[in-house]
Amino acid sequence: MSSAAAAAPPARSRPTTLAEAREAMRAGEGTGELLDLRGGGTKAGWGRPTDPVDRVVETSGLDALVHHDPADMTATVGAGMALARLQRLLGERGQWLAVDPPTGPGASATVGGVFSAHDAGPRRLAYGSLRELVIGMTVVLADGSVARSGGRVIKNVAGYDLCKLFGGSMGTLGLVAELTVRVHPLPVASVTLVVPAEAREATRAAIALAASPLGPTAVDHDQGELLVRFEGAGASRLAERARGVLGPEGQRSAALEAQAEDDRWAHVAQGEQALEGTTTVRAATLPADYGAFAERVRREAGERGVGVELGSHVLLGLHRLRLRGPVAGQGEVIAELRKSASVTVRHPAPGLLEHVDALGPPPASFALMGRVKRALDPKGRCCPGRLWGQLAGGAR
Amino acid sequence: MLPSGLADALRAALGRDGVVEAEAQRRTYEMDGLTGYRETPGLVVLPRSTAEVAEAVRICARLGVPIVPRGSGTGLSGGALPRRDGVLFALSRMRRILSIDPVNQRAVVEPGVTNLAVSQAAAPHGLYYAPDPSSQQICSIGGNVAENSGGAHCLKYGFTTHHVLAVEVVLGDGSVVDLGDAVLDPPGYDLRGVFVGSEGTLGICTKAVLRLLRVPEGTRTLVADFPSPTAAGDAVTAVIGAGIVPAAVEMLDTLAIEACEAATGAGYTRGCGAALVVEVDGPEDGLDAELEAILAICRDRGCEKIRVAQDGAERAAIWRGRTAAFAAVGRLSPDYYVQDGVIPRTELGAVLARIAELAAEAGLRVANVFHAGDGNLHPLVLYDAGVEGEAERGETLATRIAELCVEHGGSITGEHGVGVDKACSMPKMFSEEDLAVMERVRRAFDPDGRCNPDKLLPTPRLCGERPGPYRPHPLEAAGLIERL
Repeated sequence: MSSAAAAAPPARSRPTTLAEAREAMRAGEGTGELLDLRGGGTKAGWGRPTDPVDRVVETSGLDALVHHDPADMTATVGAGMALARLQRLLGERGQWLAVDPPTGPGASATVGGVFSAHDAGPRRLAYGSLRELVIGMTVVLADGSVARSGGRVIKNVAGYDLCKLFGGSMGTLGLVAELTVRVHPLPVASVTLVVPAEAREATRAAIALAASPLGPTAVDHDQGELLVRFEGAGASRLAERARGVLGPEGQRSAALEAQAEDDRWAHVAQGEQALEGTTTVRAATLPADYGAFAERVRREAGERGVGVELGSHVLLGLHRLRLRGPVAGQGEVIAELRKSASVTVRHPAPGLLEHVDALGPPPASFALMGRVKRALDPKGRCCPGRLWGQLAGGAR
Repeated sequence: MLPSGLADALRAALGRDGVVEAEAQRRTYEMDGLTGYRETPGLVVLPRSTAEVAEAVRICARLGVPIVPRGSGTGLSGGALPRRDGVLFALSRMRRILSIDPVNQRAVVEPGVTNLAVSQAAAPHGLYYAPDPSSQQICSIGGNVAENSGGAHCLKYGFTTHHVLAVEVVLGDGSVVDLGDAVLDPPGYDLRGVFVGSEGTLGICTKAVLRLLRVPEGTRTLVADFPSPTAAGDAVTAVIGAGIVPAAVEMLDTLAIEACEAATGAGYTRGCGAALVVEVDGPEDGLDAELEAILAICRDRGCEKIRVAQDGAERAAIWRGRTAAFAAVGRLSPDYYVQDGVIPRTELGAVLARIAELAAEAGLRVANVFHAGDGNLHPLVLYDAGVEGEAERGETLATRIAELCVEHGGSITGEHGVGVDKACSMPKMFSEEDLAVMERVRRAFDPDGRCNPDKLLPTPRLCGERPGPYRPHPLEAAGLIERL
């Protein structure tokens, strides 16, 4: 296996066709050339960094809208298509890919990158994650195998659902070249209620909403406020009913629409974006445990002089932390929280990963994951080290 | 044919009543819902726990015996077809609902629990389990996980994979592994997502963590009569294009209506070209407005008559008619094949016209029942096995229809699975390279090939040496064009 000389900058490939992608992947199979697979690079800091590689394969040349059938509500896109650009193209036909990852409107995040990192935002509550909206996929494995899975129809159980396997694989199984997705009509109306609430109250209110028949499309806790979003023709009527569910505070809540609403949600997204000198962390618990989790976070951080901002997609049970201050203390906070939650580092502050692992202990199915990794990438070439290095079977 | 010592070892592990040995009793497991394929299993085991499943699998692994899992046996692709040289794992004794967490809207159940039992247990909390295959009174959660089952309401609510958060699995070597988690997004690969829909070829599901949903506040159900399936299909596209996501959209053609009425008297209009069943659900606010919008679209597309269910009983009757469609066709014909192809919804008119031509050429009748919202067709090919050559013509026609769906950009199966029935059709849809990659994933889970062999992927044993006629176009082989 090649050793990726640390000093030499890696070679670059930017395929523009599937045939070129196949060639870029296969060319170094004989020598065991190590590969980094990159979309927009917006999540390069997530989790464990990729080990030094010999070649970077960029998907930015695979950026075509291959097919969009508004009547069938499906679209096929090159994985390197910027998500923001895809949303503009679909928007011209009154549709969108119903994902809202916290990458910001100007970001270069690609559809393939969002998929491979399994990134998602608040409206996952209503629409699912991109992994659930992908209905077909073309991947190129390290040995040049081009494999398709799924198809162009929403309902399809022919063969294994390899889309699930590659969604969230962080590029470690092969190059995602093309995706076929289910798209949705743009909502005709949207309104967001804003209710002042601390974490425990926010949790209670969110659980009450989940037990109601109202079906909010997002329920978030951010900066001491509970945000409750409704979309569709009945949005304002549903928001009015939600005020009753939310109690006295709910009756006094503000209702945001249009630009003010967009701005508020953009602020939520900023909570997960990289910010110099800070660490962003993703934590997961059962939804009802958010209040208790928030108190634990404040206690553990306070004891160690670590500053913390906390927010949550409450009903998904997915929480976001931004930590500031001494990295050793940040590491201790993360390690402590892992006793009762699944915690992964997204954008680490410099030096943090010397104190704590980005992903935490491998899951129970780690051995099986390693077998899958070695079945698809037997030489361990794709994004080495990005998940747990031992997946590839070596000592890394 | 079975290795000596197998029955003794299984009896020692599971007890005398945990192993079915008598030929007559074994024969009761010879088929699942696809009755054309039958094989008496070598042995049947009836484990009561994960530990018993694991122990029995370890015994089979040690002696090199293939295993086939079975839930309630309602599958329609022969996925639970036993092997004479293998052990059938019937999971019907593992039917406990282990917990319901109404606050976090989750349930933990054993694989033998029926689909409907989960919703019944959740009902006191105002919750239910969304996937609703037509067989939901009988079919098991373990079977649903294996097949990634759908149902009439998956257009809005998704399939089994969207509602299963985690599974406990016994792999082919007898090891027990948890895939996924009750908490979202455990780090690493989504092996849960690969396992759901793997048709028993990657292991045996012994426990599942399910997501429950709040029961919708209101429901409106209507039946609209159209002069033709094409006109009805256009109305479906217009409804969905208007931003309405119906909970269900079902269509029956003239022949299917005839069968349903003969069987259930559900009130469909005999003789009309196509009946569309549309259901919307959700908060009461806005439901009537949605209903009005759908009615306007239907009238605009040539609808001849509309009936809106006035109460729960009328709604139930409409659904009883639809759900009984397969069985009702038995009144029209002694035998029939059910197909399960999927097409992009907009291809509906063209595909139905072609199916009619193919049926005429074959001299057979085809009744069409389908999930029109997501393009999942269930053509029922009617034949009489007593008439010389009709069974063969029927099978050929059914296969031809599945291929037609692929030619129109669709799939050979939307919810019934590949099983043994469509394994040899997989090369119509996937290239050898695609299938080779699926095989690599299969071997990662099951290196020795013990789990439900000869299902899902084509094998020489099943399909001959060169399965299917798929040959990639040279441009496709070069990666310059694509077929999906």
